[in-house]
Amino acid sequence: MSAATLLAEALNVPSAEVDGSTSLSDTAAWDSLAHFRLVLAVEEKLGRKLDPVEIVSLVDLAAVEGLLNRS
Amino acid sequence: MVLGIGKKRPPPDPYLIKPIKTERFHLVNCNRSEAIKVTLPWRVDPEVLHNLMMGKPSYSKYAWARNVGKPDGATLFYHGIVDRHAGGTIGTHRLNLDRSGNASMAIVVHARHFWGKDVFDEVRTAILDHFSRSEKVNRFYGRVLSRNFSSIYNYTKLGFRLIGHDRQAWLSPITDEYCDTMHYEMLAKDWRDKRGLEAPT
Repeated sequence: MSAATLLAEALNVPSAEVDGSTSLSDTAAWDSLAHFRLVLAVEEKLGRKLDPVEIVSLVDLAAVEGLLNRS
Repeated sequence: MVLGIGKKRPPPDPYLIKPIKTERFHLVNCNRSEAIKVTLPWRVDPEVLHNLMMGKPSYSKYAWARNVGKPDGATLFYHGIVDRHAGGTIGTHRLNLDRSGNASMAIVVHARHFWGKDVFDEVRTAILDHFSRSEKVNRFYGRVLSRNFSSIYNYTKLGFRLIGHDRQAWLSPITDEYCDTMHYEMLAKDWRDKRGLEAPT
């Protein structure tokens, strides 16, 4: 599953609506529950708990991609 | 002065104790008995006590009343979050203000049907708007557990700056595990600038 698909599922929006401009600050669908789902989805994908610095870094698509690619 | 005997409490601040209204809520400034009443369910709610980083897994009514402190309209504020349409308190916001103008904040929404409905954003924005316009407030501060994803989301969304990360800083009496905490801050001036608010006069 790509980062964009994972983020789209967390935000509960079609994948086509997720792009480089999707961010915690500017995307209406990115609410606190979506953020909760996103952190858990990334942890499930990576098979481990995120450390605190990784958790606070999840603010846009690039950050999600970076985290998935790095791990 | 010995053991605080004779210690004078500052008088309530006429501006800070004014009522605050948001689109959906009245933020009602509570006196001590009201603050105890609206927060009493927290004393036996493990999830709330955990996220507030309290030292015990539950509290007696007496111990909780002592823990609430004395809201005085100057250094300690409890705002009941009252649903303007349906009535009833859905949560509480607490703010401690020290002599250096640091405002430490905590919020609990106990009405679970309001979770995920941007209560934090609406309430905290109104609190920040109100308190940042007082010359007595210089800086807002919040400390949250690193796995309190909702609070981390909310501080980030409001534009707070992450200023630190403590490893294994708090031993939870609920889970018996060491927990990391995150520290966030926002200068009152930065908030006013962000919101286009006038400086205190």
